[in-house]
Amino acid sequence: MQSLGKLHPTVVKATLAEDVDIKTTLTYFMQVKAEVDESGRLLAFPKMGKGSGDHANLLVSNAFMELPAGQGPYTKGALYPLILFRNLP
Amino acid sequence: MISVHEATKIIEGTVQKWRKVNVPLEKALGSVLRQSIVADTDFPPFDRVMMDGIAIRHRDLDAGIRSFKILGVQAAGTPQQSLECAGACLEVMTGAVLPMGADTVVPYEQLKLSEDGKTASLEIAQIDKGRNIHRRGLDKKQGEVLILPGTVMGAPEMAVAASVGASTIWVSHHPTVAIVSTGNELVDIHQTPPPHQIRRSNVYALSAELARIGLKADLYHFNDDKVSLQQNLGEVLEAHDIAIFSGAVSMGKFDFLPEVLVQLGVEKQFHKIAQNPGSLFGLEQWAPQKQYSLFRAIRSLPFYVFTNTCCRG
Repeated sequence: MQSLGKLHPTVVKATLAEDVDIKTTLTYFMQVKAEVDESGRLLAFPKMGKGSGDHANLLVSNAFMELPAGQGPYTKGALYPLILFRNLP
Repeated sequence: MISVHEATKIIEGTVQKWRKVNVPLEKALGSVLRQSIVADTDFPPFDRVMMDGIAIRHRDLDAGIRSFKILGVQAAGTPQQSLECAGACLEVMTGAVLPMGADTVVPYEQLKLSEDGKTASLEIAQIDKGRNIHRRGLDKKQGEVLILPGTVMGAPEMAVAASVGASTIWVSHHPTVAIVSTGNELVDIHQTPPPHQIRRSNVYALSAELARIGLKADLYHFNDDKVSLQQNLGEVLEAHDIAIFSGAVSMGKFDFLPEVLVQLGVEKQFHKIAQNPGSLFGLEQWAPQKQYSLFRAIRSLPFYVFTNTCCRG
């Protein structure tokens, strides 16, 4: 709904909490569970689903992490944009 | 195929095309502002008392006075009083106009009041001149723009608009939305699907995301039947400002939607985005009778739909 000027997705940057060994030429929107650790860092834990028909896995995630095209594998500790679709726990 | 960045720019480029409507402020929550909200007066509009206490003349402190005769009370919402006498004060309440002649407010927490309530004595050694006063125009000056067009009206914006007397404001019209699912594999959620079919779920995810931003959607479903799409889709397009399609946009033998949309006069803006999941995401515009209409087609796989709803908007 960005085109309506109604709602920009909540985009922040978060720290990838685990290595992600994928290589893709496309921008990859990875399902993650984002949470704030004791030191106030926003961490994103990958929650890989079982493919495009998997709705159920959305229940255990609260955000997408936008991994830039052609830069994989993606290393733990790196910062990437995070799009929240649910509140943080 | 275009990049995520290019697609986002094209989508955002459609923002200004929606007509504007004038609505009462109380109906504007969540709407996109289409005018500037301008300060009709200084903010705050007068020297405002920030603490309950007494208003004094600081030069009395400089002269060694520490006990002040209370001449009256300046309550919030009452016309400005005057403090002219040496050694005197006015009790003042938070939000009140600072009495004329006073230049410092001493809070009750730093005072001792006499038993008869006629005198206030300082319990602190000193207080800076001008303390506990919110000066006129300190936040914003009359004529300054407080809220820019394009801002989504949230609670703070509602408060600011109300404070400048914007009882009605111009906002973007809330578009009417159709969500159209296609596919012979889908059955209604009230039905128990046979082994080769599944229930319609994408439209409910899309509808829920729209509801989150205050948009109601009409739901439609068409089977993979080109003739039926040709006969009925035009009516759906005409009745709505936005149509979101879930399904029938890939390369399958029953993916008739792109062809039918072209036949109906819909102009393609883009069809594929270099992203995973959800690369099959299209943006189309249609303008036979309205100024602009906007259509999006998303491949029907559930996770694709949700990703595009959240990430591409």
